[in-house]
Amino acid sequence: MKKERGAGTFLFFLVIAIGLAALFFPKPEGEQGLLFDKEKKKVKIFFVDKEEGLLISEERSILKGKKPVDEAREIIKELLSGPTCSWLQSAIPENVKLREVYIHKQIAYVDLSKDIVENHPGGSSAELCTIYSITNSLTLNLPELLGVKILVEGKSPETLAGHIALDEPFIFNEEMVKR
Amino acid sequence: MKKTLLFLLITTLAFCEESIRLVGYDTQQFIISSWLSKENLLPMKETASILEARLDYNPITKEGTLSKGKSSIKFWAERSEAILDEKKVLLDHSPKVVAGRVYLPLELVEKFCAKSGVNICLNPEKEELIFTKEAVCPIPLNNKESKEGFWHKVEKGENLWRIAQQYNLSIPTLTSLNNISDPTRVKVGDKIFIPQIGLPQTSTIRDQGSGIRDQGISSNLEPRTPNPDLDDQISGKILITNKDVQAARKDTAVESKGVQITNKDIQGTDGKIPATNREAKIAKIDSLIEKRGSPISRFGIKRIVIDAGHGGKDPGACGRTIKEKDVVLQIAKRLKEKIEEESGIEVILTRDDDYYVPLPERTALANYKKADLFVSIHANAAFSKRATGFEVFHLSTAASDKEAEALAESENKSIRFDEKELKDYTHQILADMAQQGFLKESVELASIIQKEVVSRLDMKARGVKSANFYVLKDALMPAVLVETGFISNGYEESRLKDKKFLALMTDSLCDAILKYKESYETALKE
Repeated sequence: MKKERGAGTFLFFLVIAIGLAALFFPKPEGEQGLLFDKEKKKVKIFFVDKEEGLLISEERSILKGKKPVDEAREIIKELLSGPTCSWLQSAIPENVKLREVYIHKQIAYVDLSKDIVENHPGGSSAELCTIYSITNSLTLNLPELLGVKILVEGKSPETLAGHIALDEPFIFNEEMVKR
Repeated sequence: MKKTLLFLLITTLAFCEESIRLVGYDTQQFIISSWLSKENLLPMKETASILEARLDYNPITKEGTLSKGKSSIKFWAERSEAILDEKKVLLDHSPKVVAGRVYLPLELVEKFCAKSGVNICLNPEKEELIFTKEAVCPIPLNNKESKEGFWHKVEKGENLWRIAQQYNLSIPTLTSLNNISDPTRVKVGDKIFIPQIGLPQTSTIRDQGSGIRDQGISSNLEPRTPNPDLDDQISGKILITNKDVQAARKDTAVESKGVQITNKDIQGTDGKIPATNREAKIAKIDSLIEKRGSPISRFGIKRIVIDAGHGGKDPGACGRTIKEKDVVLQIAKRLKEKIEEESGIEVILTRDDDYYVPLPERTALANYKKADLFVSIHANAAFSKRATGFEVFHLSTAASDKEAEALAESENKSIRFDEKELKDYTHQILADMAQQGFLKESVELASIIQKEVVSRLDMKARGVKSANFYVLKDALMPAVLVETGFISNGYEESRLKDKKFLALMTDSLCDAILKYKESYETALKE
């Protein structure tokens, strides 16, 4: 009887000890730790303004990545999460998922799920907004990038909704940004 | 038989104003626009994909090969001969290149099909061209008038000859009616259409080029060596899905060495990127433009292609009650009438009804018809419901060094991405550069349109802008894209429904185009 209580107390303290250890000792380096420094970096990402349908930037802070591609991934994730300001809206249709981002020879290849084609509202302005909210957000914050090429499900489709050709990489576009 | 089919096809195509479909095995089909079917041309890549044939095409030598199983056909763009299984054959029409896309004459495709065991059938009622591996076509009739008759199911021990005897008909009648390419391949379970004997309808069929058909049949009746490859494949009709077309566009794009040469060729001798120095490209384009001839400089503006955006399966942007494809079709049709009424300019529409025309074919039509202007009509949509206004686009200037550099980096991109598209890419650069050559004219036309419409329709001026529009890329003439208003905005949507507004819009567009014509032609005289 006594022995059992002793074992019970021991187990209780063991659990507490493990809990405390987890709190005080640094976490083993996981994926996050390998890809990012602890520092944060401020970035400007572009959303559509509800008045004229032009692009306006919003500031966010992301973890500073060890490689540009990691920061690129974070920026796209922020874009997909939508704006915080009430006068802005996302230029990327709902349910679009980021499949992967690659950077090769200063071009970022942003591979998105097919929802970007299927859920796109169409129209030249909307298409331009989608393309340049991604392109401007990446090229403004990652100066090492020359351009951005958009892929859908790993392939390069003709267009998103019948207007702008996706065959070439896009560069920062000032015309689309509201002054 | 083959010639009869060709004849029938030509006559039928002459009557159908609409587009014609190439039908594959799926519910999805590939539609080619009416101008192609009228010229009896089939797009090369899509045709290869429908036939499940391997395609190699070298844009430099303009030499191509279609191969399937043991048979192959070698052809050259703009040359009226081909080599079919090492035998030279003469063609009445040669393969054509229009804006970087290659089109094959129907007769060439037919010759290849006959060798590779594919049957081409025409369904005139639905305006479909069906490619099938079956000896008997899924559509029994190639003549609308001979509907009266009944079906005979082929029983064990029967062959076409017996069936023909049984009903006192000739084998050519049956093969022609049932679109049978090879009577020896009729098998148990096939359904054969038997016409009512003695009806005049059947005799009309018999009359059409009977001599040629009989010859064809006799050669077809020669004993065939069994082809295991082929027999394996005879599982059903070949059908083509849109995905297949896409895949084929990519797969067939690059395999031959020609591409590499082209790319280097274009990049200059040092193999470096033409970031600022584009002489090599421009020289090529000059020859391209020269080849096409520049009707503007010589004759002024005589012919315009007006493109109503989207159509058919692609509705474009949708408002609460109206669709972009319907609005732009109305504007395009009125605009054609108006321009033709007020001037001697010939106007060609890329579509005159609600059907889908692939993007590359819209520009290809304008190039093929040697149009002097290309105007694409669209209605805009934005994420923001409040966005309004009128804007006109031309192709991006691509002038900045940074853009050229970005482009060049992607040209040299690793094998991992889009290597397969390189072949197309060369053409695209050429055509892009060609459009660059018309940039000044395009911008001027865009500005005139913007000014005219905004002043007369009380719309917000969003200005003349540039973007990399697919439909403007390959145009070998000044080309603009007009966004007539935001269908996503309640007020502008209601205006786009209003007949008076649409009439005023077409009037202003017409006046703007005529103003451009005038200013251009006076500039020429000076």
